Amino acid sequence: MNVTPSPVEDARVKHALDLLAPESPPDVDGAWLRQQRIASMRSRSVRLLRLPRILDGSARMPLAAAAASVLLGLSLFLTPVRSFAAQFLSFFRVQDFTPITINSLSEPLPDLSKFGDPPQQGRSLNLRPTQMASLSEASSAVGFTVQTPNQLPAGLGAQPSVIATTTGQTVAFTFRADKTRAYLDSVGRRDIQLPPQYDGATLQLHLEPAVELAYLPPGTSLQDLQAAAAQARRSGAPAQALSDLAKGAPSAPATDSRAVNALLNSASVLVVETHSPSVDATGVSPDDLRGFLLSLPIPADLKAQLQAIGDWRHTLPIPAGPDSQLHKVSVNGAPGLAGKNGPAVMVVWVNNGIVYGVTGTKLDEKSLLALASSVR
Amino acid sequence: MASADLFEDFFRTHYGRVFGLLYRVTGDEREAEDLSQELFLQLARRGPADWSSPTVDGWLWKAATHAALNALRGARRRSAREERAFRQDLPLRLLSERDDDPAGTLERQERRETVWRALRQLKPRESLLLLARHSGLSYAEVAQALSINPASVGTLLARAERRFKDVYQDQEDQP
Repeated sequence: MNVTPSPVEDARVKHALDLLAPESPPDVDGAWLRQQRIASMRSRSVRLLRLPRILDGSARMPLAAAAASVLLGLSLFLTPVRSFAAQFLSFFRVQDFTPITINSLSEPLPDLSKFGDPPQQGRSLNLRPTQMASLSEASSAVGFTVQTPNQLPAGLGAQPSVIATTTGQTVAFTFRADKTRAYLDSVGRRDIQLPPQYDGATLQLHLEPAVELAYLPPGTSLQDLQAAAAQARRSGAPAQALSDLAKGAPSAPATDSRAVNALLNSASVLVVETHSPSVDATGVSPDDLRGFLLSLPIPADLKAQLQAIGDWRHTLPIPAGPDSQLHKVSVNGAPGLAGKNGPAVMVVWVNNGIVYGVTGTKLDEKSLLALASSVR
Repeated sequence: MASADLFEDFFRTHYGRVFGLLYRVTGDEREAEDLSQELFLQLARRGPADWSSPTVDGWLWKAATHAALNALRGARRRSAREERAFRQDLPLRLLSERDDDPAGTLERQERRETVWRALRQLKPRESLLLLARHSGLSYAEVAQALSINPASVGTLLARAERRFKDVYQDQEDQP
């Protein structure tokens, strides 16, 4: 066994590579606990979402970003975006959407934990889907009648392969002036002022129960779906992941590559439905908060886009990559967005207070829009 | 020992170096942890009955370098765009943050970027060879990981080091 590093021989090369080494050894005990937790969770439950940290309860991403990801990012292949825009769910109920183009993914955006007390441990989001036996069971779990598409691509059965729900929950976040001041000072922005009533103000994010319907090609399992999604996420491109998997090399512990191929080469569809999430607050007015958030050091083009949102209390910004082609659409008269975002095509729309999202593999925008219109 | 205990031993023995390798590739603690966890989960699911078998080590390192290679490819694609953004922002950041950066975090990050840029100019397998060796893999493990003859590891490593030194020198010479 070889535990001590055996550095490369050349001193100059070693010195350069030393810069890339972890600054401190990893927490192996913690990692082992997390490994067990994820393993036991995966064996018990269905995982449809692509964000393992959210699902295993150890999410360290900003709450509202997590919420927004769940709401819209239910897609398998959405580009991961560290989304400040998504934190703009302030005071708010979804009635419309707008794409926000995020050009530079290298610029880390401030996350909420820099500005106050995050929810207590153990009271964080639990967005683990639970599998349901039938649509009617799912409908009673989410509190509205789950609707299904009746125009599915060829090769998919009319009934969803998987029906799962997540529960509704509320998480609170408390702003702290000292933390915020310290953060702003640390990034050299002593010029940014805090609203005086800001200290101790709370934000509450209410997530409603959601249902997720997956339509998968025959012979594929959810594990294959996860593997395909994980591969795509890691490599950044489904096509690349596909060809790697298809070659079967050099990955020893691969999934069933035939099934993954089937999945990526034939159409599959994911439908998500939920009551609109909402945000309310105490101690600070929506306009004050928005003004403050917009004064933070975020890239100028992002700020301009956020400022341009007219009805910001009812418009959910959807983070879009630089190559995204999201645009406004109407789905049976209801407002929404459609188009390619990252490697996937998605449609989101809101109708009678219920937010719908559909995405899939091997589907173009036109067929996905037709599918969306057939959800009723 | 029960299989579950053997797996725990296996995990604890190897996690640090797997994480270390993936951290060197991604430069991101969370990303490296996610990738490492995923790797061990896959191993656990598809794994052998006997976690103490020496062949399992080879399996692990093959899978780890595959994950690293994928991460490297992703980074390669992202790099051009991010680098542009990074360069555009740099003068501003230097002005606004230099005074508030007593620990030299920013400078360290710049130096890390220089190393990554140099690594990206090597063949991916050469970069991996260097990073795997630097992460503490033995010659035998490096050979297993990259499916090369153990007898040629030394030669290949020396060649990769020379190549790295050349491009790294060029990188550093650039203003």
